[in-house]
Amino acid sequence: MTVIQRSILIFSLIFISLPQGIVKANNFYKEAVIIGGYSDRDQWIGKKGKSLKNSIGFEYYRKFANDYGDFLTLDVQMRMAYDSTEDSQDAFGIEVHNAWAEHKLGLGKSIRFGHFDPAFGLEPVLDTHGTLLQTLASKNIGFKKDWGIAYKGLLGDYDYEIASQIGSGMGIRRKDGSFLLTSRIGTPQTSEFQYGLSFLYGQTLQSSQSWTIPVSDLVSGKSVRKKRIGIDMQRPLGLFDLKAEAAAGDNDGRTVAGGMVELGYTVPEQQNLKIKMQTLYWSDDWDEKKARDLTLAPVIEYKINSSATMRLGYFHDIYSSSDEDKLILLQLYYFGL
Amino acid sequence: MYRKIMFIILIVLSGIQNLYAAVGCTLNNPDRDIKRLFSKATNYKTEFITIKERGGRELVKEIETKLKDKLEPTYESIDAPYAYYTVLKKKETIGYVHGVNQKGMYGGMQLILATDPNGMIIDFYYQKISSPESKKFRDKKFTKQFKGLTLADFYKHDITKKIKNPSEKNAQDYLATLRGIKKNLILHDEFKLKNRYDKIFYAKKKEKKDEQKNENK
Repeated sequence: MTVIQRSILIFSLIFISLPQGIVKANNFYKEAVIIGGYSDRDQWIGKKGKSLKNSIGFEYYRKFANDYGDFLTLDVQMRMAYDSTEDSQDAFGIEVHNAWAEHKLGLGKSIRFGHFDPAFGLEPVLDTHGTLLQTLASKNIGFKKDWGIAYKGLLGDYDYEIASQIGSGMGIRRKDGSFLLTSRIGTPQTSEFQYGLSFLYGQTLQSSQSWTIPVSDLVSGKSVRKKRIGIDMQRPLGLFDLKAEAAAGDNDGRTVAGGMVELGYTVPEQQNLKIKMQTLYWSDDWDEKKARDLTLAPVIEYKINSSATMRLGYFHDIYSSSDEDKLILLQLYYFGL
Repeated sequence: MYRKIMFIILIVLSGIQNLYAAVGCTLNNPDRDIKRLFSKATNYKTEFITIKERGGRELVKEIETKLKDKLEPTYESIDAPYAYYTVLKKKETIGYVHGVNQKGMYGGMQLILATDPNGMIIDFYYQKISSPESKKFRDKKFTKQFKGLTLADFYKHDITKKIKNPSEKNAQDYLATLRGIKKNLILHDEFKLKNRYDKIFYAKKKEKKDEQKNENK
């Protein structure tokens, strides 16, 4: 048995034997993603994208309180993932998604440490952890989560957050002066109409894989200087849920810009069934036509029971900065106590 | 190698497939909501409670009897953790905030109640509602009608006579809202108020039985 096989077995045994009971103020969720599909370019595949692979994992969420109320929140969410496109020795890794502790400084004020969403765009206000459709974050910033520190507060009728992170994404490393500063101010998440304005400044690294362990290679040893401004919104539109965001700025002096629009519809007679349509555009160089990506993606979601969801998605590249592709994906997602 | 890994995944899945559990209704931004709802609040304590741990199938039956309806298995599963926010002024409990998921006509609703320590509604709002008439439902004219009500009002009276339907088109979302709020208050009574309103429910039940007996005579 190889080291990787042994690790998986130990991980699985720990995973199964972890306590299933629910204790006050903490929840332990188990998670599994089984995904496969067919691509014009790569034939039978697991998803080559960075965030969804066949994986098993867990989320442990806990609130700590004393007589005066909650003072600390802890969230750890990790997956053991398998990438079918890699050689067997390199195909397994541990993805640490959330790994943060948030300390309350008062009602409406908190400071957060660890691995969490940069404060930019829709990503920090949406849960895309297990969904086929993603926000602009991976195209725009290069990753969905990063290591660092953040402060959250209330400013009149608005919520705001500022974050200082190391610019490396999933892996824990700093190289070539990497860093990431982000901030977002927006209407409260309880509003029917939600809007946000975000800013970003930093030098980020790009990894070849989305593992945290083992640390994956960098695509380039050089960090990319990024500046961005972004807007985002969520609102109902008749019977549809509308989500949209746009961001623009530059990467090492090249103008970059993009946007995402997503419409969701719940079938009234069969509410376990949702139909979504997303258009995502991103250009890594506004003056260069070959640097643009435009993908249309209709997705059908069916909630099998309270813990399991089946998703079927079709991703059609209208433009692509690499080879244009047409991809069908089928995903079974489990998330339960 | 791939087969072995898939085998392990299947073992893991087979171990967890019976643990059907939903993600309950939590506040998107509890700090902001609690600050708005309770001006004297200094903090709050969060607790996650499931029907399973507080009474299991027996409790499901009891809730269904009081609700006069079956719980829906996907959105109201026995394992769904309900988040309870006990609102504090220093160490003193000054109220609670608690929400439930409820199936509406066009999708899921999230119904949030702020109650005082005795279970009286201080405020009610929709954290989420999917409806072309959502504005009418979110309107204060509709939501403020619930202020001052307790579970006793739902047990003793026909609540549709007290609360007016904001929609002229249909009653489905209105009735779903009333059901969701009643369910929310029943759970709150079970989980936090030590069944304070049970005596009213059972007295009303006895009263109805006696009425039926008299009619039969």
